[in-house]
Amino acid sequence: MLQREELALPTGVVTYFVSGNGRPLLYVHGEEGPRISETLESLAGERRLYIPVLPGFDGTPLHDGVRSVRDLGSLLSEFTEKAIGEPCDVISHCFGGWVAMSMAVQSPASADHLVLMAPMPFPQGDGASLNELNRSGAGDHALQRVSLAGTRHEAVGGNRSVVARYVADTTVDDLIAALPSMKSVTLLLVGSSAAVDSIETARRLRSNIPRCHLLYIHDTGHFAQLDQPIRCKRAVSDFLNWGEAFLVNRADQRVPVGSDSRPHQTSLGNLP
Amino acid sequence: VKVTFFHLMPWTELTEVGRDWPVPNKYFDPARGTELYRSYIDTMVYAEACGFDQIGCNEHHFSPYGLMANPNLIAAILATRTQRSKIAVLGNLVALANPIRVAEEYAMLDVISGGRLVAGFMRGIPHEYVAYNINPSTSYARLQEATQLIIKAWTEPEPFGWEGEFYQFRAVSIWPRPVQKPCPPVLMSASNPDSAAFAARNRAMMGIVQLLDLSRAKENIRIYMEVAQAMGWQPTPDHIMIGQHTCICETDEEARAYLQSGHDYLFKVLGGGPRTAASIVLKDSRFYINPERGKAQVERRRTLAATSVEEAIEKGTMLCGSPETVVKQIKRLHAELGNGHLQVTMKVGNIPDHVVSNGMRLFKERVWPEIAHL
Repeated sequence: MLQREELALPTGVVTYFVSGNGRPLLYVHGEEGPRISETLESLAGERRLYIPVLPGFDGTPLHDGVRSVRDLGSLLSEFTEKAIGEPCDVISHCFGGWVAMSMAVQSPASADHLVLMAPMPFPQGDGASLNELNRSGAGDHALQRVSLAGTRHEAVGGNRSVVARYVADTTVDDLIAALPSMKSVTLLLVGSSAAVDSIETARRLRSNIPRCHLLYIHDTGHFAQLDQPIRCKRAVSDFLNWGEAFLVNRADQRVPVGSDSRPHQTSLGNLP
Repeated sequence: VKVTFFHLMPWTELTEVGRDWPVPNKYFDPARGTELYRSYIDTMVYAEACGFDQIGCNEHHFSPYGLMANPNLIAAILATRTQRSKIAVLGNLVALANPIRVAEEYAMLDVISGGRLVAGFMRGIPHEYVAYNINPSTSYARLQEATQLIIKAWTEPEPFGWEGEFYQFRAVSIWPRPVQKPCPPVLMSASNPDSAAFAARNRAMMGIVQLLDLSRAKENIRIYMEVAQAMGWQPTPDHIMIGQHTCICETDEEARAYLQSGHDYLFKVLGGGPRTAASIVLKDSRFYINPERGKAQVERRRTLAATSVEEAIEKGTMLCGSPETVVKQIKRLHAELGNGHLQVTMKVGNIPDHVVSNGMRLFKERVWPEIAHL
């Protein structure tokens, strides 16, 4: 079961959720807010999963002085140090990927292995939309398909405003320029049917992050962890367990995670 | 209109009507096989001298009617022995193969040929799934995933991995990459309504062979166009290839006699085994999405086998006769279907090679000048 906790930091109080046992795994949520997917739930079966609610999301208060993605990265480093107490693996989705990268750049010792699931596309030169959620509504549809999102669907709209606020105070070029200094071994997951700007961003990240592996998840777009939880779990779990040796086929050593066709019920359910 | 000279590379030495599958390979004579391969390859190379735009080959397994278990071997020879004609591999059976291997070999062919590859992505016919021990019910899903993976392997500039239902590769970065940008043209079968829609969804050229009649071909083309438009793209005549058995001689009578003989050999001697296998496979599998489609396909093959050349000419599903007669038949076909590509199979069954090469010469001298403007 998820436990709700709070941690007081100098900038304000961070609400977070914890579940599972084992090596710590930090999940940095995207603009959909702190939602539990089947992928995360199954990872919580192997790891102790920490899910901090980024300030301002789901109606939580903003923190003084935390205005940009860089600030959020610093906040997460501090959170990791105080709530977890040791370096940890980090998994992120969409906007959370920017925050996770910023954390890894600023505090290389905090983030061991880093997983970026569908990182939010970098802005285009013409100032086009920052993300495909705002553009197509396809993400809304994906979120509605899982019960955990149902009651909190209204919150997603508010979260998007929070994202826009953080992004407005962020110099994306600085984030990109810092990528070559990243020390974390990184896995980049992108849906094979993702929008063009998402794929372009993934290529750019693959090209700029030193030890980065790009993996396409077949038959999904932005929400691979919802559409294809088994494939996501298989890839992420192999990566977290074996590091860069996840490239080697170890199918016979894998813990079975069910079949793609088996309906799955989440037991963790909605966050409280 | 562009014309593809297609060769099936049939075995010509069986004598008995076959019903069993697989056909025992004790009937294969390697020395005769060497002669046939050399003759067939020379014929295909000659197609360029006869002005054919493309030279085509394809893949079949455990099949005396098609001796190309790996058409890429033949295509590699053609790529070095020809200079202008495109090399149309129609195609690799991508649902049965390692898609990364397909991507690599096709890329090699495109580079060796200087960007002349037309890449067929085929599902195969039912018995191939027994031959390669793959569940036929997964054929469409495998074809879909393999297609996307191959195109990704061709076009992705960064190393990548793939986590799919049938294929998992953690690191892909093929060498070489294809010459053609963004990638070689892809052709898929559209011989039934489901496959026509599938080709359109994948933005591939469509190919229809072994027509029962022109109205069904028209219907498949309509479905292809409709699905393509729904997917946001507009095919042109260049996206439509129609394949026909073809025999050209000095007189109509001579051509009909040769084609009837070759047709009988192809369907009654060489085709019996595969038809038996198809019946077995289709009985308990979902090789066709719609089970009724499977029954229709079995019936289609029976009908094709029973159709005389005379009837096929009447229906517009074979090209046969003197050069002047064939010109009229091609014009009729083009007027009815609007195809920008025509694929001719002149080596039908055991039609003698000298009849085939004479027909190619007649095509160049007396057919081409009359249809080039179409």
